[in-house]
Amino acid sequence: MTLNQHEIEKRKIKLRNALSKYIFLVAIYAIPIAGFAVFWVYVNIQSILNAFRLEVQGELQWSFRNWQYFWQDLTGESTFVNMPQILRNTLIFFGTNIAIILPLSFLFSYFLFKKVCGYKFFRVIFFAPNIISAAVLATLFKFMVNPSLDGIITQLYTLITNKPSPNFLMDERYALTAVVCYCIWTGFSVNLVLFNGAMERVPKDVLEAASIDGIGNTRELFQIVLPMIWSTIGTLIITTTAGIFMASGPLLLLTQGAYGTNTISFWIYQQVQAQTSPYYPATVGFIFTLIGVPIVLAVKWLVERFFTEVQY
Amino acid sequence: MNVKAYFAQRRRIKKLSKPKVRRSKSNKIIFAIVFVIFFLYACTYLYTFGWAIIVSLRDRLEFIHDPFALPGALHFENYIDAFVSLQVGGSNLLVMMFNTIWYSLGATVICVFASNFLAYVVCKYKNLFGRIYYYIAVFVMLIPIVGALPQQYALYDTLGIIDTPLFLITYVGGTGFQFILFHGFYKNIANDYADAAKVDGGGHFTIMFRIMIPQSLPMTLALGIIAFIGYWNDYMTVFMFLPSHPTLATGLYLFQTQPSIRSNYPLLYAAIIIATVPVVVLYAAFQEKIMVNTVAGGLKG
Repeated sequence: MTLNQHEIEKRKIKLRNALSKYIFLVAIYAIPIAGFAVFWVYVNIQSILNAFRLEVQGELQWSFRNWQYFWQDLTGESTFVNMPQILRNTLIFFGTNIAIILPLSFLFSYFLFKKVCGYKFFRVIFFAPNIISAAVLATLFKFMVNPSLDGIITQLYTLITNKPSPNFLMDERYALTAVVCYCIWTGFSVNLVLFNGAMERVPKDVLEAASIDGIGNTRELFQIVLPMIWSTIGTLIITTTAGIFMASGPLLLLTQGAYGTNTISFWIYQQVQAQTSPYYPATVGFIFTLIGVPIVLAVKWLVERFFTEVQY
Repeated sequence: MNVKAYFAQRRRIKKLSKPKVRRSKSNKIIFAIVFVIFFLYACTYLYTFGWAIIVSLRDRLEFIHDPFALPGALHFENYIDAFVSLQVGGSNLLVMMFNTIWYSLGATVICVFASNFLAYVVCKYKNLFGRIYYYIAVFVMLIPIVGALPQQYALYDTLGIIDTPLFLITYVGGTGFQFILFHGFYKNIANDYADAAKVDGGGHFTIMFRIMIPQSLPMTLALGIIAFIGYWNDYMTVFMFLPSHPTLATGLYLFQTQPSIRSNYPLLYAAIIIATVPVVVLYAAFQEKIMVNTVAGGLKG
């Protein structure tokens, strides 16, 4: 075999290797990428374009009309959609998540972690809503606040106020509060699992050293545990913020968005369910995407800036 | 040293070596308050599900007559009856159970393996393409695109996959949380075995399917169970895209829209228990595995 032939042989092998590698990569990448291109990229581009479209007598036209409609709905000039209320509810649900459920579940996890009496039992019970369908929990909740079924909450209401109980979920005055209560009642579970896992990973010797130095529970909680599981908390804050206009929660089951409880994402869901024209919901969605993106990026920046991650 | 003193000493050592939780007086009060709060909160769940079980065993008329009485006789036949007579649009509870199983299983397998395979190639074959894909995956998770639903519906309608099992192909994208977790997993897997296989002439497919993927199976199982429970419980997607294949969770919603069923609470409660028990059993059986292998170990942004 001459040197030249040897070279050629070597190159052939190299080529064959490269070829087999690319065939492999294409085979693995092809389906997910095709799926992603169609179900995410195409859908979202079309969706954004739809924000500038309008169907007039069966013909598609470019138009800013839907943006005008949105402005009219928002300022109350038109009453086609009660946009201020929907927006307010969306923010209330988001606030409940960030300001009530998140901190409370952090505290709950800490006390579970500190082995409060019966913590094993509590852990099982508190983690349970995580695996039980919202359909089940919401249905059970609905029965509890239904006066015609003598639900426990309506009974308590009558017992305390001595008045016949309203139907909380079907009363404009109480419905929103009732849904928020439901969200709090069932909302701890996911966070608890994550926080608990993160706290278990905090090295025991750090906590021991701290307790030898005579650090109390409060300082341990805020100066040791909090910074050490910050990456988990921060991620949760970011993902909750990313879902701000997307989470429709239990509305389909509890109120169908009626009685002043609707949110942006559930309103969009309803529009699709009712097979109405897709252009106005697309416009509303696009506007809230435009509002949401900078908020998420700002929150991410804040989370990363004010708390540096601890490596351990 | 006599025997008595020896044992006394041993007891003392044992006591010392066992880290007893010591609490100051003010702490004791705080922990007592927390215990009471936890207890009350736990009671709300115990009560809710206990009551559901009791009602599911009661006679229908007896329940309407006096919702709060304890059942006179236990009507276990409610559970059999629920399978037969709870029906919406030609799907009874048995059909719904079947739908739930194929939907959750199909979606889980497609979703978990798509993200597993993708994470593997993105992580172990370093090239520009993989890097871009990784950033896309993070981007998709971070950027809240609101209102794509109408267009999604229109596209699925054009493709003709609405209300057919083919709808499951929409889960092939492979991005999202699972992708990130698998990516982190493969980053920590050493290349030794793969390199050894390469020396022995193993091809890319061999290395992937005989060496790498098998190592990820415990994590795949754990993430798979979490995904499975999520799909089992998901009612909004099914209600929207698979209306004539209702799953159990969707069924619970649909039953409440039917006047004839709506008032038959014992049967509804029986259906609630039937829909809940499988996931609880599944979770209880695999709890340790899930805890060890997943997000519960901590999640990083």
